[in-house]
Amino acid sequence: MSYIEFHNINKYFGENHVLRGIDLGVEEGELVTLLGPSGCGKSTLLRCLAGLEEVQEGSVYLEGNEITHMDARLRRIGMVFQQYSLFPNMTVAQNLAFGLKIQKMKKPEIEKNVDEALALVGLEEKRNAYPGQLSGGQQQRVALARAIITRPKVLLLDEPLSAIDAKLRRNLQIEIRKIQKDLNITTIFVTHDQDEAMIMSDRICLLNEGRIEQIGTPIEVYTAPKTRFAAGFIGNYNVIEPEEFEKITGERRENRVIAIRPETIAISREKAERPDSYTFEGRVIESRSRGSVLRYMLDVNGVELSADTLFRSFSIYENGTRVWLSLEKRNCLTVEEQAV
Amino acid sequence: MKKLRKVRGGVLFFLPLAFIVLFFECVPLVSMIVKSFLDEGSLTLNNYLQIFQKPVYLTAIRNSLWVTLTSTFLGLVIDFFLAMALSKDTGRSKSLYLSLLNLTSTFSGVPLTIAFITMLGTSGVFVLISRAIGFTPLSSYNLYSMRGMFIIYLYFQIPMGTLLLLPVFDKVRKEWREAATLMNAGSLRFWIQIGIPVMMPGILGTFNMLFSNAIAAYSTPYLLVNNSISLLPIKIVDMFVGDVRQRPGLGSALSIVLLGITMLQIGLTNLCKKHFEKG
Amino acid sequence: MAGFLLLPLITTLVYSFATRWLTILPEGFTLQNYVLTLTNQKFMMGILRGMIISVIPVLITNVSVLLALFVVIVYLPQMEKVVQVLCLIPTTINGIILATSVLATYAGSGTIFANRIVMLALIYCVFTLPMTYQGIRNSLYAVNTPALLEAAEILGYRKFHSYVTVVIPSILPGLCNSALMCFAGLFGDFAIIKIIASSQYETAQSYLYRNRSQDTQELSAAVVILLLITLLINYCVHRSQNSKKERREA
Repeated sequence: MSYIEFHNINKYFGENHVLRGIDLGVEEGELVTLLGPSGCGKSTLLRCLAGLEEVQEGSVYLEGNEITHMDARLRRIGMVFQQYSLFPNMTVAQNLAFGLKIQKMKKPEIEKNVDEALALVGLEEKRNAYPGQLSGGQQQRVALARAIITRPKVLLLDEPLSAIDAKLRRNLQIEIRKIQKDLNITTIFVTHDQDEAMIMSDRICLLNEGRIEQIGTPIEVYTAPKTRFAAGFIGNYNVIEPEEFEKITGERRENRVIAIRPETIAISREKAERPDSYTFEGRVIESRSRGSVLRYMLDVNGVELSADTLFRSFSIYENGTRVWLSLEKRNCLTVEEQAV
Repeated sequence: MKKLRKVRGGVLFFLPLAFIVLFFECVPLVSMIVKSFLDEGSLTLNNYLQIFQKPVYLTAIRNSLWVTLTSTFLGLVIDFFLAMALSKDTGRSKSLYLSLLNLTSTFSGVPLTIAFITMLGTSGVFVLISRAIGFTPLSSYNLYSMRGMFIIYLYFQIPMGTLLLLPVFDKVRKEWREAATLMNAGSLRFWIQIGIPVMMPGILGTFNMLFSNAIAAYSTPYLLVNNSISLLPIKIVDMFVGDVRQRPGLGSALSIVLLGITMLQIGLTNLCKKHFEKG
Repeated sequence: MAGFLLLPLITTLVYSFATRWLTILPEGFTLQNYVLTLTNQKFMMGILRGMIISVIPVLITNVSVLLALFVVIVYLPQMEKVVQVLCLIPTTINGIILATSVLATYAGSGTIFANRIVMLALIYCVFTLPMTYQGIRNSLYAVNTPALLEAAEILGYRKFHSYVTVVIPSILPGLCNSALMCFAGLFGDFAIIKIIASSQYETAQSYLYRNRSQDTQELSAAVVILLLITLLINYCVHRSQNSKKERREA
């Protein structure tokens, strides 16, 4: 049995079926990300584990004990919210000491713990500041310190970085991951940002409309999407219908959806036949630069495809240029219509 | 130069407001302050000395403070729990309750007092009913006393205070309650250490409103007890328009005392507010 | 709690329909009290007088504050603080102190201010000043008046012209709101009128007071009628608030 287990969780908000039979296990010390678009049920699942939402069907286990209907206060779970979760009338140190006081820890020991936690998130000098005097990033660091200071069994992070600007977000992602590994604390992280999920997770659990679409390591989920949704959401795959595939390659595969990653399509001016590859002609519609990568939108026999190339001067094609494309057969992945 | 002419034209627009404020706010206030130091034309502290020496006036101050403070505190406690229940509530029952509060917040002064006379006056219906069924606590209810009148003071503190406190409850974020819950804090601990301190500026603002409302209440005591129980507002008015000898000097001094109490109270709550506004 | 709040309302309502109520239950129900009250000329005139003496000060105050704030916004932003303090002073000095001090200053002064009705109207103006000022100021800044006026000036309109034709119409709903609330406050006043003009100018409130010891069934009917009037005002305020909300959301 895993450290945390969800068994067939169902949840309804009125008519809305927000969680549809979720089964998930999380190992001790692991960081699992719940990834999905807004409204997919990821936060709700997290809150079911915290005890902040009631589970209507199914059961939740922690360390082998069923906690489905346990009082949230007794679960020993630490949580970081999106924003504004610090108590505004208390200083940073008082916020951190709050949970320890409830545990009836002695004063000198509280002081020691607060100091350690502040050092961990690098905010020693903000000890006596009020939350309103801190930047958004600093507030979230304090919130993280407050969540782990009580030595919880599980750490839950509910889109903690969504309100923080992009550059600072990168640093905090790395920092959170480092702290999580150092403390070896079992963590569930919720985000809608696929890059963030790729950077931080041991495993990603991809959710859509209350169902799990796919679970796997970041590399597995990125290179081998199992469903149409997974291919579209992660890695910007070209998701192609069977009849479109026939138009492009002239080959008919059994009635399945095909997913092709943009960087596996090679573009050149001359036709170059390669073994085990499809070769076909297309026309550049548009190009967009994304950092070191140039993305072309192409028209192939009436089907729109995107292809990525590295940004090099000799491989720039004007709009309207006719180009030759080649694609290795093993990079055409068949995916399921929907999760089973 | 052009700008100056424009400003001079603008001053014309100022005139109506300046007129009202000057002649009906500033001049009377200043003249009241001056008068409070005058007795029969000579400069004196006599008026103030009288107020703090004669039992009539001391009782008036004490009575006013008693009925104001008790009705304000008790009202505030009731308002707090009422607003708390309403802030959790949603949908139809909430909007019904809100309409009731809105309606009753306008129910005040003479009409409200008459309604209470109808219920609890000497031949009020509840008194008559209680006599008929022999329910003694109500059958001898004396509305025309400090304690009897108190219920009306309490009545007009409830709707207004609750309506003022409702938006204050929105300041308490859901995340704080959830974070506290996950740290094993009970609901009582949450409200004492986080909820109420966060709401304190709003609560104190409401306290200000309720206090100044109650201390200046005139219609209710005038209708019910008039001169049998002395209260500051009634005494003040008596000094200016009473049937007995009019004493504007003493009346002005009493007004200054009432003003002083209000300012002191506002000053104290502001001091408290500063203490709670952090970060 | 709802029971405690409702009790006086319900009792008054039932009582106003009762014929005689001397023991547990009323002896019968009748509309007689309403007929009597509604045909009572003194009461009806009192309502009318109360409305007149409430409407005029509200209008005067609104116009004065609108004019003054125009000057403040366009020419004299440094005066803003002064105007604010002067307009908010009446919140601290309550109606009784205000009325008695004015009375003591001008009664028998031989000027126009000595006229009790003029005096009453102007005291009411000061009394409603804080609420009017806050209502107008908030609406003026909500529509960003300085920017609106500058835009109009670039188009060649004089500022005051566009203030009257553009800004004031756009804040009218908010204006009506605070005006109605001021009106309701004045209409329910008894203390000030009692001090200033108790004998010369009888409003519905003073009528109730004068007849407080007479037939209380008829009085209850009068109370119900007054409550219905404030209810109507309340309803108007709410409707204008809701329509404002809808427009903002649309």
